[in-house]
Amino acid sequence: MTDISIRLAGAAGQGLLSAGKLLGKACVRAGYHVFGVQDSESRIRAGHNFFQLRISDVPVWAMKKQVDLLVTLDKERMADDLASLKDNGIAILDNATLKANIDDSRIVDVPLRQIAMDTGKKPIYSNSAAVGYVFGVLGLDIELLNGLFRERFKDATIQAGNIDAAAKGHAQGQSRSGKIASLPTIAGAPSRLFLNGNEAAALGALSANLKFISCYPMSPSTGIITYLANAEATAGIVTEQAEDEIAAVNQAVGASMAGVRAMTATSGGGMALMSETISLCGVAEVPLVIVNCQRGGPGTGLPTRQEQADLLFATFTGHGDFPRAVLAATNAEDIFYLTAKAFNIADRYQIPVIVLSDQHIADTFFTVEQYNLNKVPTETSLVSTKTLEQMSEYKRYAITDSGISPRAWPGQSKHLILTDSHEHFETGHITDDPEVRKAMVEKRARKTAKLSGTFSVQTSGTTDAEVAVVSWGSTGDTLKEAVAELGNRGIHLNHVHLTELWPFPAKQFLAAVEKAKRIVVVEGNNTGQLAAIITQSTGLRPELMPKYDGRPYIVEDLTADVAEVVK
Amino acid sequence: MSECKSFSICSVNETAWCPGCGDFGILAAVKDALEAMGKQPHEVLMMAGIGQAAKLPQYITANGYCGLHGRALPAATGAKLANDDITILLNSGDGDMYGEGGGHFLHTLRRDIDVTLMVHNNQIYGLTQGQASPTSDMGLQTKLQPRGVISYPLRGPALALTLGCRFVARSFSGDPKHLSELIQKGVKHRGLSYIEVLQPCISMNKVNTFKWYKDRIYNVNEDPAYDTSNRMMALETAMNWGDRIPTGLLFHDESGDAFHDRIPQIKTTPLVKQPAISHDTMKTLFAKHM
Repeated sequence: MTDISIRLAGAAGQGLLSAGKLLGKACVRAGYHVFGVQDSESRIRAGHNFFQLRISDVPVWAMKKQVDLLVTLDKERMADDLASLKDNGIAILDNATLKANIDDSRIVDVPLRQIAMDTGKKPIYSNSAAVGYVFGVLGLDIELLNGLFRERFKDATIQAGNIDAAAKGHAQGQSRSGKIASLPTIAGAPSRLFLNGNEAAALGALSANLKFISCYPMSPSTGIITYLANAEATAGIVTEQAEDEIAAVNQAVGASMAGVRAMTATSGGGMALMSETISLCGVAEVPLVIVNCQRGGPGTGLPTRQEQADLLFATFTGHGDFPRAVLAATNAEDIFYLTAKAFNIADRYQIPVIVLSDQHIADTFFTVEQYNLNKVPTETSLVSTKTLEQMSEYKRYAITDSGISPRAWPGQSKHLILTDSHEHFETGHITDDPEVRKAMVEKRARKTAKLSGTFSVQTSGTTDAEVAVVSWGSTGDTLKEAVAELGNRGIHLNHVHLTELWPFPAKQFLAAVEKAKRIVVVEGNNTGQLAAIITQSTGLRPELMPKYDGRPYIVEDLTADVAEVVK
Repeated sequence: MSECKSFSICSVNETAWCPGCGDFGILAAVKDALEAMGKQPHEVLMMAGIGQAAKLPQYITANGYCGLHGRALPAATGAKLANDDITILLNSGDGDMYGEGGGHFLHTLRRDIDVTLMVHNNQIYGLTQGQASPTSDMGLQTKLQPRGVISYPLRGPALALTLGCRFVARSFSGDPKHLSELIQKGVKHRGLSYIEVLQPCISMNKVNTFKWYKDRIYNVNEDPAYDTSNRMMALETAMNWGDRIPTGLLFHDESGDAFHDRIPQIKTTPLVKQPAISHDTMKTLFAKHM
């Protein structure tokens, strides 16, 4: 099995992300699975950033601590980066530029800047020289890289500058081929997608017929609307940058009320500003999808860092009693389907649905198989125009056994639609009448009574083991690998992973942990938020395994920590 | 609600307005304008936030949306971007629009969406029982401002003129005929038409009464020298407040387009009438990641 990790380290603005994406995409085209993590500070230039790729011939969904190959442009943090490099690894740096002068046998001095000047005549081609060198070391087909340069750069001079710099780097790198691993193109591998979680969420929304998105920029969620803004013409949608999160969410509500599928995306602080509107959707019964890419909180917290501490907020935000759904993605594969499903739930039940993503999902590049466009067929509560025209009377909030009223949009027919955030009669006209009030509260509550019954809980590992480890969000994939690794060592665990969190699927969860004597919840917050929901919903009191250092889980560390807890 | 052919009240409710409230005159003007234009109730969407002014959609036979305090303009933006075929009128109060929704007022005027916005300005918070509003005059004493208001009042029309608004007007609830004419012009205007409507709050504002307004207002359009196409003249006029308060169509620029005219995807067909995305389009998007 091939399993190598490469770290590209340097300051923001040095083009690391572009170089890493090129390398990753080329490896995916060569038939490999690539997992690429961005680690960045909240600044535009300088600081210490890295992009770390894990490349394998089998699917990889988590980050390793030790790397095989390091390309560094950063002198300041070189000691840290070298500490992450395996003893038999290779560190590539340009000593003439960095003047690091470190005595370490793993360092290979490559004149990247000189190559750039000799070929493209500009230092900007240094990164391409470095990527070319890595291609040489790993025995990757340089034509894959050249192809990407041709797609990316239409200007002939820029194209040639990159290709020539990469070729010279490649020639030098070949002198060390075979020292790490060899990555020949895998014949017959299916073509896969290489994309980050924000791009996948955006695509999932489009597949569910999203027509309108409005957002206020907030890390790490901004990638969603940025992606959609660039796909506007192709997809036939409208995107708008609002003046604040309150405007963003209310624009989405207005569009949804007017009959199109609409969403907003934000992070925790932005969703806090949306709280009142989430509550509005509860009573006005307007479908709404909010993607919350969690970052470290509270307050400004850690804008570009990882945390899973908005679960209780998502579950309980908004004043008053009203139904809502909370889903939480694991990676770029399931966020596509979960986002599409969120639109169906919002539409069918006419409720707000929050999709929790997190910084680790949002910014990480994943390799996923082709998405199945038939997996999430559209479900809607909208009445067809034909049916509506045949109705002698229409009431927007008609009381029904299911609690779900037939939905229509203003102008769809001659029937009038009155949408109201005040308590109302079936027609939408406002009232304080106590009997109407009771009937409406009960009607709304009935809508999601059966929703949790449709949710599933994922189990893997040894499902009848004595210890169940429970996860949600991006933690799930790293935990899955840790559980597999511990299984190889004879420590058998039941891994229970949740993506459909509210209304909490208590029955399914209890069935999944039935054999367990111990339940340990592994989650990226300090207080144990999923554990609290489990206790509230089932009476069980799980053990906590919290993490709140603002960093994603790493396979080796989590494996060791879980082994310690369960021994 | 069932099909109704006119905008006259077929509501299940009595109005929640005080007898003699200026809102009655505004409601009458809205209905008169829509009927005069030959609009059908199902072609019109009345939108509002929260407050006494914002209850107007409850008392007219049309589509309606009563959302959150201060947030009607963003909702109207979303609705208009989804369906440009529907005529949107928005009624709001001075607290709703200039206070709670002040930020949205600024930015929605910049966008210039095709909505007719009426801000009922009675210089007081009525529904919450008489506190100062952003337009209360300096010195106005209320239960909450016993020493009197110590902030400068917001001048909505002047502010709108600085934000590029191409239709800026002011009317008075005591003159529904004048208001109806302005509403009709506003609905026909392609872009955001903003009409501030002065109105007395008979229960909570004992200073700015019907007589107080009546004694001060004058119609700028009665002066043949007044040029509605001159933004700077309009701005100078709109800054006046005191013994004489200008009303009428202060500024109108009929050239230019509305926000959604600048978005090619909805130039011909509203989003709500466009088909679902095709699998082929999705596959085109996927291909960029391969």
